[in-house]
Amino acid sequence: MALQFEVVAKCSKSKARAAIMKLPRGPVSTPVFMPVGTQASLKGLTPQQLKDLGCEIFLNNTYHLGLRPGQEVLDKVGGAHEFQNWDRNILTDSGGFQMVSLLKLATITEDGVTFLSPHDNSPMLLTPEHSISLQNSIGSDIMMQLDDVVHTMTTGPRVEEAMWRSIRWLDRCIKANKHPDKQNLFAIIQGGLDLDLRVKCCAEMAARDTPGIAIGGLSGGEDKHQYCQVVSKCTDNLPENKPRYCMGVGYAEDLVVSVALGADMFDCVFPTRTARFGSALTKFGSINLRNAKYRDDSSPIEEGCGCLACKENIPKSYFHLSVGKDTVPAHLLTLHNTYYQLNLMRSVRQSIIDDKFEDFVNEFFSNLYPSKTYPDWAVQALKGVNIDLH
Amino acid sequence: MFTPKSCAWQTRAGILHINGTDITTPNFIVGTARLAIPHLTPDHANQPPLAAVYAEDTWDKGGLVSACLNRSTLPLSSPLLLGAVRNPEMRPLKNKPNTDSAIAISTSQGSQMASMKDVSEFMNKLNPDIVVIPYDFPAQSPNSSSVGKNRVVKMTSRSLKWAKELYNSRPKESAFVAVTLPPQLQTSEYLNEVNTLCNSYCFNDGCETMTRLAADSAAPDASKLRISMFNSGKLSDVINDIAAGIDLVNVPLTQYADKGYALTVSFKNPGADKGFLNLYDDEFIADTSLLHNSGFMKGYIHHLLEAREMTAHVILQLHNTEILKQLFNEIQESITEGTFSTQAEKFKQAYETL
Ligand SMILES: [Zn+2]
Repeated sequence: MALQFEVVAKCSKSKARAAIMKLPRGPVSTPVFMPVGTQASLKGLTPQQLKDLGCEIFLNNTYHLGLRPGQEVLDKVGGAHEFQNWDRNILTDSGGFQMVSLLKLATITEDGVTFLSPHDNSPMLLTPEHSISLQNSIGSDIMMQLDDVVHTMTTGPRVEEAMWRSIRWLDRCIKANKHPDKQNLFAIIQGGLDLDLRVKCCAEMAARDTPGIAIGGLSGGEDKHQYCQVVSKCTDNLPENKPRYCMGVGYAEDLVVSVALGADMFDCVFPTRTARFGSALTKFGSINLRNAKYRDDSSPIEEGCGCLACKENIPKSYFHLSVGKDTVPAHLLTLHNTYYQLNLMRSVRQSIIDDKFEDFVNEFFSNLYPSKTYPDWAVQALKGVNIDLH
Repeated sequence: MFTPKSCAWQTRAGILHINGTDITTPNFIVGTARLAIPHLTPDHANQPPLAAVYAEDTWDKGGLVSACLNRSTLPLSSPLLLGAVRNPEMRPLKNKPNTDSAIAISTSQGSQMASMKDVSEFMNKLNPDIVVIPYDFPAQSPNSSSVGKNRVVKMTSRSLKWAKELYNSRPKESAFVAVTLPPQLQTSEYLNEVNTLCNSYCFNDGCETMTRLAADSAAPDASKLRISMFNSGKLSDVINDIAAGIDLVNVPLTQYADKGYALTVSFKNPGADKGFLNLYDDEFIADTSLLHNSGFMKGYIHHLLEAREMTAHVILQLHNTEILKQLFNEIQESITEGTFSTQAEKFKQAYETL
């Protein structure tokens, strides 16, 4: 196992915890948000800029890298780190989720996921072995198992079938991993919104003793109450000494509440995708700089923000003028939004270490909702872990 | 302050002192789009020696967008040259002619009129290192030679009026004020008048005009800084401008990155290759060699271009900036060593296509 997980502080009220996850290419402080560089680059940022933001780990997508540059090139250059000149950690997904969500014609059998090649429409099969082989070629520090993904809102026997199949596929992935000494394979908990299935799956996955465990099959449009119930049920049933990864979660409120429920790792394309449409994330919510009211606004995106754009006081008016037309405002907004996410998690972490997480959560929500009419799902979820929003 | 090593109308080296920095000449200027050098955020250490900013970029239907105009909060870190319009002769504005007090500009929201008061506000808010004063040019003319006699008279008086107005309202710190000398305005009357206003000249067709002026006994003060803003964009013409005695020349940096080109040109040893690598070419798919000092494999940049990832253009823009800086260093050296004209010929032959 090439991962050590050391919990350095626990919130005295909620299930939140701060830890250090030691990986082959340096330590990662958790809770952590991981930006997504789908095709081995984070939307116009250089690896140095990503480092300067304090990013210790980011995502690449196996499906995309498998198509381009392809496994052969990855093997030749010695993996994705060398390829993109990034010497910190990389996490890769299995490629399965991307196929099911991007390719409508994907079908799932015990062998794997069958899909039509986007190149020539010929049928292709992604097996657990093939996914791990690709991730071995990428050389990611954390790999995800291929899982049987069902849509979050699916009910009935298909959910249980997918859960058991995901467990069998984990065994095949573990067996296929050529580099368990340097590449950490994470299991993914399935079971839909059925809490009993989730508990069963947690036990099965924990028994396989992978370096970390993800909570999958969420953030697909389910009710937020249900999302919180599943996360909380899983963290109750997962080992204390392993990182817990909520896949595809990235809205600030979801991050803060999920940390309270005991999750450690998150990823989402939202902060960088929304940047390209002119949206900036701030502690008072997201603002769209294309809005006419910013034409004559000479103040920076967010006072006190430590990103390049705000430190240099580049005015909102500039973004209003140029966003959607030029690349520089897009890069600056990507820097800002990525900084916002990483800094949010750094603040969350510090508050846990100082045992002031409850105060932090209250300040965070009151900035976001000045009228203090908080969303019920957040109030209930936080109440469940002894945090009162007041 | 500008200190040329020669005052003749010929190739020369010099030093430009602006804003506390020394820029050795000949050197290059890169055009911005809406206040930024395309692809380059200001945190990158490798920035062009000079950036050209245009007033027409900061206009919308409501007029000048002045809230974004503040020298210290621009997404730019290079010294600034500022103009009202990119090219006063390239504007499709038949139904919106210039007036005595305003110039027609093309903005992202259509044609607008920018009064000299607006242009002055733009200039004062940005406090540039070099100001290029706009001149009047009739919108209807398909080319400069067809400007009628009467129109030339109006063009002269209007351009002088604008020059005086903008000169008088210039920001105090602006070290350089340049007037442009299109063929129609190269009369002794005009030259004498603007000679007292400006300390530098801007040329539309650097090479041609300069050659003509060199042969003219009534030529303007040759010790002044000479700028070429509207060359063809070919590197051979950039070299021709320098040969004619241009100190600062506009270079179409961004077009190379946008085409996927990594420049490899050299003035000292031209011709080892065609002057650029087209990283879109499939030959780079599995190329693990690094692109010069960029730190990135050519195969990776190829991948980013194919995947339409914007980081490709950032890396190429940084690389090409460095190569052009190196090119101009070599040009400066060759002028000092007296080898410029022979090297220039070799350069033009080697890089015909660029
Ligand atoms: Zn910021």
